[in-house]
Amino acid sequence: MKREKERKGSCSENISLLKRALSIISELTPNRLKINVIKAMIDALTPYIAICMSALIIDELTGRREPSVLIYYVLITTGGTLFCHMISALLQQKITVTDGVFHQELKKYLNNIKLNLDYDKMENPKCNELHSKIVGSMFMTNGGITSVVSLITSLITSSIACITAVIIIARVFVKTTGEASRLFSLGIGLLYAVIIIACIAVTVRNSKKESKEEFGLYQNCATNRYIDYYHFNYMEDDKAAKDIRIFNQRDLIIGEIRDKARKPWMNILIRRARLFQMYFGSNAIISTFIGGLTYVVIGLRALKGYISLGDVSQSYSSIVILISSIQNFFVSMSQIISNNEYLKVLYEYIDFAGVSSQGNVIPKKQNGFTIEFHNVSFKYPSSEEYALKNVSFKITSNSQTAIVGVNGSGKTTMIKLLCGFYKPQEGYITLNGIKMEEYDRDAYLELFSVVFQDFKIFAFPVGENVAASVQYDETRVWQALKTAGLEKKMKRLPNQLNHYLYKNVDVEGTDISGGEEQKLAIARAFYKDAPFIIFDEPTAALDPVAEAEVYTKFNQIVGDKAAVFISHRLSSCRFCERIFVFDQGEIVQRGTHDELLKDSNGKYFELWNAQAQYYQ
Amino acid sequence: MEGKQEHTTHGILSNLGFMLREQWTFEKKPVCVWFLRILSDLVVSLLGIYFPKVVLDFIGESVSDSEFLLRIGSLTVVLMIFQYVSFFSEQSVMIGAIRILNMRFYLGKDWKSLDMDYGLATSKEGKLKIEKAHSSINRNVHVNMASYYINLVEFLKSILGLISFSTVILLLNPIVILILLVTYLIDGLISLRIQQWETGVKEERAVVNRRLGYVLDDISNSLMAKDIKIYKMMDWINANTGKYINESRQLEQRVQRKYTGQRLIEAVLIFARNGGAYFYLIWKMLHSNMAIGDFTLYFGAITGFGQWLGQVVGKISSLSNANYCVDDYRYLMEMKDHMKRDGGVAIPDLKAPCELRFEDVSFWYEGSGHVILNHINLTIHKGEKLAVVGNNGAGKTTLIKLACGLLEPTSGRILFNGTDIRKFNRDDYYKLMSASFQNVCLLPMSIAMNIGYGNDSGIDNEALHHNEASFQKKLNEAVTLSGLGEKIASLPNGMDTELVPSVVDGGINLSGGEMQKLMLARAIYKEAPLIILDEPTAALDPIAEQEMYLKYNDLTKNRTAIYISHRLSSTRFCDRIILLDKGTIAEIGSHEELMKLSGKYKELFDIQSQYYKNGIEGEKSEQ
Repeated sequence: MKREKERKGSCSENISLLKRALSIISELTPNRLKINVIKAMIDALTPYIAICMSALIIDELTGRREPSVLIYYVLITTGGTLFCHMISALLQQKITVTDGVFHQELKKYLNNIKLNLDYDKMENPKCNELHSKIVGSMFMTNGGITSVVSLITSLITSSIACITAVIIIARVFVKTTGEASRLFSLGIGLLYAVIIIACIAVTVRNSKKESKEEFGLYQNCATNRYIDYYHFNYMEDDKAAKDIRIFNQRDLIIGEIRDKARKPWMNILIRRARLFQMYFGSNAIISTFIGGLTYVVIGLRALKGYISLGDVSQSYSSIVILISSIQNFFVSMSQIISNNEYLKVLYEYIDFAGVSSQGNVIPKKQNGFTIEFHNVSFKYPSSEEYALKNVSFKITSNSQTAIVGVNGSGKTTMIKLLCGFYKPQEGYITLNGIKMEEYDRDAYLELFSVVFQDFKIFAFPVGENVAASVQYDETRVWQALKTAGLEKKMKRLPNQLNHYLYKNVDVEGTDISGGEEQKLAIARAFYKDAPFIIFDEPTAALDPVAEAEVYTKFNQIVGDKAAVFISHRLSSCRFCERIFVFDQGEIVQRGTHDELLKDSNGKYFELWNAQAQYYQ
Repeated sequence: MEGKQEHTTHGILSNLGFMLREQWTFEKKPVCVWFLRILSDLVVSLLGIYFPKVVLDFIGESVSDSEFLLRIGSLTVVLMIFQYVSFFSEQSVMIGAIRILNMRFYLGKDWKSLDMDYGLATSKEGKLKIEKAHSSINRNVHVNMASYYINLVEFLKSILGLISFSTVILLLNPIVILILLVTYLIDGLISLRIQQWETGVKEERAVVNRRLGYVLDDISNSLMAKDIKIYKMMDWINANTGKYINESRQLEQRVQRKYTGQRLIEAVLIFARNGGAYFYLIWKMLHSNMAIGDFTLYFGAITGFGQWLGQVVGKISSLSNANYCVDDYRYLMEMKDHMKRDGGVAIPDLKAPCELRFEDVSFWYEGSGHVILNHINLTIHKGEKLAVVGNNGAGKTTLIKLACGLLEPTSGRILFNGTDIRKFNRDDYYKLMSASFQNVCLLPMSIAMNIGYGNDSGIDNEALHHNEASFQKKLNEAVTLSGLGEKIASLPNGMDTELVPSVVDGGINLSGGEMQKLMLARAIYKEAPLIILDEPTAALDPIAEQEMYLKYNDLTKNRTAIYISHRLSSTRFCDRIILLDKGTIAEIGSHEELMKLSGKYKELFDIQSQYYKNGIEGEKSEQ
């Protein structure tokens, strides 16, 4: 027990780690710990009813043999056990339900962290690494916050079982009738205690070593990335099914999965089992030895008549429980300590994910907005080259701006900076003359409706998808769908706006084509009705007819807003008042379509003719 | 188990045979370990009840100290040995299961899903089977398909344990066993009822789990951070997630309430059983000369009997779960491909262009009334460059899947150089095809592997690893033609640069356009008589697109080519254009011919070209 105090003393850090975990747990599922602890205490004490009472029964049977006393004893034994079992069963019901909910709430909690990450952090490899470590340890090896309650519970169960066992055994040893051998029996008792403590020390050391080495095994979770990639990405559905067959990739992929995914993972599991064999196997030998030794020591005392048969069976059963619960105690202790390593990773992630400093200025509702880039340069963290070089321009309400340029010329990067996902390394961006950083992030983002290239439609009802919310204004949703050219399609659905999309959530849900998805994303942007409306290649997945529809509507859509339009199709940009031509991170030309076409050496002319020649 | 049997079609014995055969052909050693485990654990549990009896008997008989020490000492040593063997072999059984799971079942399932006909793999039925087989081997060896072995061993062990403990009790009184069996029977019937009830809510649970899986797993796996931020979607997603978690909680509460009822009845039965055992044994002690050692032995045997029986029942239900997993796995593995997998006629020369003819080809998905392609008759001549245009949903993609031999026509036939393609071996036929599809899918490997892997001969792959000059040259040609040459030249590691940074450390990200060029390079690299390009310029900028158009003849040299697009500009460099509309060939001919027709093609062309045309005219007028 002294040991334990030392460890706890030196591990105030561990306790604070646990405290934080417990506060997260009780935030997600209140009362979970309390119920578990109560049940643990009842479960720990239940076997002792039978152990103590059967000792009395044996003594009575070998002694006075009074039937009424025996009946009384048996009823206490079985009745007491029944009572405990019943309470335990009732608690178990609650525990199973809350455990299930906890797992789900935890996933939700982690998802919220992940999806709320600042954009630049999201692309940070460290973040992905932390997240996959957490999820890996949590759902593959049951480490981390998921096992905190069960570890604490087993710590409590085993300490209560230990204490009770020690009390019972000590009582038996103290109970000495032969005065003469008092000193001798004390010596034997001491020797016995020393051997037991030594044995326990060895088993504790074994368990500690085991869990340390086991933790070491899981440190390298990189193999999961291959499993995830191949199963949830490459081999998922129709993603690469055609390519795999046409390019005969079967052997390659199986080889990859075998060597980079399954084998390393399998070896971890096998090594873990080998650790079990080595350490817990020797623990099993030691505990059997202790059991035998106990029988010998107690048996010899019983042979001398110092103690009764009941005491023998009682102390043997207690010793068996003592050994296993001391082991469990230290196993739980060391598991808690090694589990704390997982917790540290989790906290590192949570803290890392915290929203970075932001301003608190709320953009004023006013007639016009102006965003201005002042000599902005930017390069991605992983890259040496500038994605944007010394870019300056102004976007104001009631104007349309088209941005054209070849791939990788910085168009999308500019949008990311505009939305505040990244911060420029040089220069600055202002909204109505005030630097972007000084605005409240959420309030700033309120100003934008953006259709990104990689938009996402969810398997929720149509109306919710348009409004991005559970509650929505039906007439405005219909209006947005109409403008996006989806009204007819959605009117035909049995449940209209309440109809689910895809089959993931509702099997009756409707599947929609890539073009329709894009229109839905456009409808979402209209519904939001923000002062800045930005389309990043909104017609890539549309067929020519739908594309033409969107182009013709674009003018009437934007009204008094600031519209920014990125496209490869130059035809779609020619109605814009201003066109910026991006090339290698710089704005090389700006002006109207007609102005730009006059410069036959310019980039715009080149781009335009590349496409237009085929339509002459 | 009897009740569940009707759901399985393979039968328990057939699955047992299957699993044993799998183990025997995979590895034989674990089978010996199984026997060791059964034997040693049996000895341990018998000694477990025998040990206290011996101690108490010795004390009762007042044997000498030294004899007591010797007997108990040697018994302890024996127990120690068996205890160790039992624990060791338990872990070894698990290791065996881990090995066969990872190296045989897992890879077997993956191989099957990669190897089966495309049409099957992407059909509703195929997807379901793959998914089920996956979940049957997913998670750990204690619950998945490989748990069959672990549970089988434990089942046999507990049967033997039950028999040996019964024998002990038989020595006491056969009626005791009868009474015990009755109480356990009651217990068993109740849990069977509950299990039956639970199968009733299985559907409901599947729905709840699917929804939760979607909101908790699928959503977080896809990256769409930008949308989420701009539209503040977290509240929305959380509202839905909360709703589904609540649904799941309510369902679970209903299920658990039933189980609590069972546990309460169980507690009462334990009360009755143990109480009965005590009273009977006490009565025996008081009315016969039974020793106190026997009292503990029999009491141990009676409670032990229950434990064994519980284990037997538990293992039966675990085995039956594992049995379902085996079923699901076998359903997938036993799926028969429709296409020709053995033999087949020899494929034509890979370097000569080919002729492909569709004869009255129709296609619709089984069980769907929607006809995707309707009586298509079309001959693509040797070396011809064909363009296929049409709106979304016109059947373009299905047409190329048929041409590739990925799907089979529902009626009609497709001839390759005059041979019905069904006569070719399926995998041989793929050698005749090269394609770039709309989906971009990268292997987490080097660029060279991404482009070069998968050509017919295995020599290529060896060569890729050895950087042989001739293959380097071929690779360089392919990337130059696809327009990726500059990008690769700019990379320090060139062709050896690895892709997919989320998987490979030090891998690089490619932009959408670059990925599309990579897919194109792969299609060019593979020397096949037919090359199919499905919207290969969707992600390219105008300059890159034009470059591709200009190089189109080079990259389709000596091949028959099919080019699919809904952008009509691309059709100008093709020999012939077909316009698909609602599954039929609406118009066919060259650009000029189709324009003269003044039909659907012209209509589409006018819509697309109006802005460009006006622009050019505007420019002219200004000049």
